[in-house]
Parts: sequence; C-alpha cells; structure tokens
Amino acid sequence: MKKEIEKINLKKLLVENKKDITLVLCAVALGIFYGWSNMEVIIFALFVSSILKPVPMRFFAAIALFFLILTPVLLILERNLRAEEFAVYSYYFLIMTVIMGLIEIRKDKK
Amino acid sequence: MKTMILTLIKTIKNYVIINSKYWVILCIFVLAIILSNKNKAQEEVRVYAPKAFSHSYDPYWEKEVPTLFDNINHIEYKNVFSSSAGDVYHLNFVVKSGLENKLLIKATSTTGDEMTIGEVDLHVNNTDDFIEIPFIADGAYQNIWIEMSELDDKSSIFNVNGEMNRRGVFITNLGISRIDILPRDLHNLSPTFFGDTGWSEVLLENNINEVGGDLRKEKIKTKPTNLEGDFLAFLDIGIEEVDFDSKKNKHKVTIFKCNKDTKEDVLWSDEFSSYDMRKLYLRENVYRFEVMKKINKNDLYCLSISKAGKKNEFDDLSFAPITEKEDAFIAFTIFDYSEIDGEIKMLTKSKLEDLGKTFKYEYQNNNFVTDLFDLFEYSEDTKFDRDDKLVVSGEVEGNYFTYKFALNKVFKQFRIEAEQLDVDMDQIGISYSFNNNDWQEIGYIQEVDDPQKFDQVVNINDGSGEVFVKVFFKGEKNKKGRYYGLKKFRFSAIVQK
Repeated sequence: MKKEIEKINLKKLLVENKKDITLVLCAVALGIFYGWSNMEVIIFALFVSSILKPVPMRFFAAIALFFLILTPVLLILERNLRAEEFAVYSYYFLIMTVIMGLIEIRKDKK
Repeated sequence: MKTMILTLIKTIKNYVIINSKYWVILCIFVLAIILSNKNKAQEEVRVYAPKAFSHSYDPYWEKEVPTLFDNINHIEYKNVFSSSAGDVYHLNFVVKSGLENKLLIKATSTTGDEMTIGEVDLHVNNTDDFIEIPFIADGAYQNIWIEMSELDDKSSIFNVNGEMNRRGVFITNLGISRIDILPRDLHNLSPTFFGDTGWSEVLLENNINEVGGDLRKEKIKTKPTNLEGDFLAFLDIGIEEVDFDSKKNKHKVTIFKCNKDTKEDVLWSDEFSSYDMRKLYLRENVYRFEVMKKINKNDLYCLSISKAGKKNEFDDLSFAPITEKEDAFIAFTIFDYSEIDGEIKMLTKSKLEDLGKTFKYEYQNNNFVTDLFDLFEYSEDTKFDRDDKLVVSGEVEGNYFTYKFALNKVFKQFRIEAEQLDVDMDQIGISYSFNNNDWQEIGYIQEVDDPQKFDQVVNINDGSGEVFVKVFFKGEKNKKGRYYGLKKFRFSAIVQK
C-alpha cells in the first residue's frame, strides 16, 4: 500500500514538474554535447534546478566551503591540478550561493 | 487601438513576470552555449597519433633520457614567442610517453602572469604523438611551460642496474607560430601535416635454406623477403657460444637484392670475426649490424652468411633464436616514412602548418639516427656519428650531403639557419638549388674562435616546387679520419596556399 502511494506520488511529481525536469535534462545534454566533465555537468544541472526550485543558500555555501577547505590541503599534497579544479568548483558554488541569496532576499521582501 | 496595444504589452509583461525563471534559464543556456563555443575554439587540442606505425617499435626507446621523469615534472621553454591580447597561435610538439599521466600546458610571462593553453592525456606507448594546440593569447606572454600534472607513480625511470625502464615523457620539436587570422576563423585552418616516421621489426622465421642453425656448412642463405619500408636500419643475428678472443676466422654477411628476374645486387656487406662481435653485442645471444641503406618496397632481399677468406678453416659460429620463437634467428629493423596523398614524403618530424594566408614548412635536424635517412644524397663516407649525434661526412674535397625539400606545393621563400660542428674544423659551405644542378652558395659569418654560422633568407620570385640544400667540404686540405658536420640545421619556408 505504502509502495503504491510512493509510486503515485512519484508519478504525480513527474507529471507536475515535467517542464522543469525537461530543462534539467536539457542542461545535462548540453554538458554532454560540449564534452564537459561529469562534475561540471552535475554542477550545471544543479544550478539550473536550483533556479527552477530554489534551495536554501546555506546548502550551496556548505558545498563551496567544503571545496575551499580542500584546496589548500591538496596544494600541500602537491596535487596542484586537483587543487585548481576544486578551487574552480568552490567558485561555482559561491556564485550559486549568491544567486540563492538574492532570490531569498526578493522572497523576503514580498 | 491604443487600448489594444496596451493590453498586448500588459499581457506580454505578465507572461514574462510569471515565467521569469524560465527566461533566466533560457539566458543561462544561451550564455553557456556562447561561452562553450568560444572555449572550444580556443582549447581544442589536436593529437595526431601516427596511424601507420601504431604498433611499431623503437630501437632507441630505452637508451634516450626522457624530458620529464622522476621529480623533474616540468620544463619551461623561455622566450619562444611574444604575444599581445587577441593574437592567435599554434603550439605544436611531439610527445612520447612511458607513463599514464596528463600534461598541463601554459603560456607564462616574465612578470608572473600565466594562461592555461591546454591539457594532453598521456598514455603508455612507444610511438610519437604529434600535438597541436591552437590558442588565443589573452595578454603578453613569452614562455611555454609544460608540466606533468600529477606524479602518481614516483618510481624511478632507472632500475637497480642503472638501466632505463621507460618511465618518462619525451617532448621534442616544440614550435609556436603566430597565425594571421581573426580568432573567430580559427576553425577554418587546416590541421598541420607532420613528418611521421616509424620503425618496425621484420623477423625471419623458418626462413633459412638448408642449414639448421649451424654455420659450419659452406654458406647459408635466407629465402627472398619483401622488406616493406624505406630504409633498412639494422640487422640482428642470433649467435650463441661466441669465443670473443678468437680473431682467426672471419665471416662475411651480405644483404642483396634477389628478385627472380634480375641479377643479384649487393645492398650491404660486412666481414667480422668472433673478436669483432664484442662491438656488435646487443643483448644475450643477439648481435646488431648497422646497415643504414635505402631499400625499395617492391624488391625482394636475401641475406647470406659465409666464411670469409680460407674455406677450409673450421668455423665456430652457431645460430641462436633471437626471440621466444625458436626458428627465428635473424631480424631486420625497418624505417619508414608516411606519405601525404600517397606520394609526398615529409622528412622526420617536419611540419607543414597553415598560417591562414600561407603555409609554413619547417624542418630541423633531430640529433638522431633518422637525420641520415632524411638526406636525399650523400657521398660515400657520410654517416651518423653517435658521439656528436649528427650526420657527418669526411673532410675530403668533393664530399657533400644534400637535403631535398618537396611538398607538391610552391615554395615562395625559405630560410637556412646552420652552425658548424667544431671551431677547429676546416671550412664548409652551404648551397641551394632548385634543380639539384645549378647551385648558389650562401654566405656565413665567423668570429674568432667561433664556428661558421649560416643564416640566409632567399626569396623565390617565380616560386619553386623543390629546394635542394647541399652541405659540402671546402677546406684546403683533405684530412683523413676527420669529419665535418652541422651542429644545428634548420630549414623553414613560406609555402603558397
């Protein structure tokens, strides 16, 4: 019975959000087409989905901090390329944090 | 009418406001597409793995010291260009790797600025990969920095016996050219043609007539074999139980053309005693002869080994397998050039680069045995000197070696840059010709205690399909046992599109 409810809910969720899901899939397809790395595709899809369904800014801020903390550690371990990669990811998530922050401020004003 | 327009504007405004997030997504998608296309134009790394020789082997692979190995994880080529923002460049180089790794390539400046040009994945292979990276400079840079991104495996390239174990990266023939086009036209350039060459090994299996691996008989002869290549570089013979102290008995080894309908024509011949075989030692039970002769792909070749001198003397050599295959006693190492359009042979690691309005051709000596193969013609005692790593020719009047540059395109201008090998050498001359007959000598400068230096640009008004460059001895006295050569030789040309 529970499974059935879950199934119905999932179906309902998919039908209700088909426009948004299509757009996220488009974002993934775009990343694959341009040969982005898996991580870049995930981040872009996350970015698109967060604009469609805003999430709290602290969620992205936490991820940005995670990558930012790891960067100097990797530099100490002489993994320069990985450190550079993580620094870029951190920058992406910081941008998303700011955008989410702006959306939150706008919402609060309303 | 006015009300209608206002209603329409209001409807559109409401529609935009209601669907604002979708408009934002649309803008993001457009921006992502524009930026990705721009980056694609800038960072596309072209890797040309040599197709014809993808399974070839390199007889020198284990003897050369890599460019990057152990803790030497980067190399900087200083003052190789001078860029301004917006300039379009081609960076190209040849890489051969014994490591699974990644190369990170950057343009750097003396003031500490840097720009990433591209990344190249390295895979373990023993062939040359030709890399080309078009890029648009975003500022003033002068140097190229190449580093191995991660040193996952810190094991040394040297084993306990001090021998190489292929754990390194070889980078050669780095070149950078400014392209005379707008950045947006970068994709219209044709890819660079590289002078791709390769080695292959031909094992003669079950190929020896009559003799079952014993040289005590009168003479052995191999069955006719087709050697598909341009040069026969080495002959390896498996021989066991060699008495290195014996100078008594000499053996004669001959390679000759043995086509059915034509007379036997000797390609190369040598005599050796067991004592001489010390110098020929390659590995256990295998001895290497340097043949270095041009061969014809359509001809059949045979090899014979016989006793030299007195026939009655007892011979003391016996064959041994040179690989795990028990009936393979002899192997040839072949060197081959790839061809453009099935006819034009590009010299080893030479480049024909699209500069937008013209092509640029470039060849330089590689300080490798292949320099000898790149020659068009040469006098009898021209050879590759292993100590100086150069092509040299005896200091004898009339001695020469000639390069031929021909691309099935028209040369409009060329430049010859060269430097004599030694200061104390007698004089040498360099001439050029468009028909290998009418020669024009170029000038040189020579300061006290300095070698001769040549640098001349020649404009060809009507253009020419071929350029020959001859390096010849013009000293006053013939000196037996002394050789002349060029420490540096570079031929670059502007070729009509």
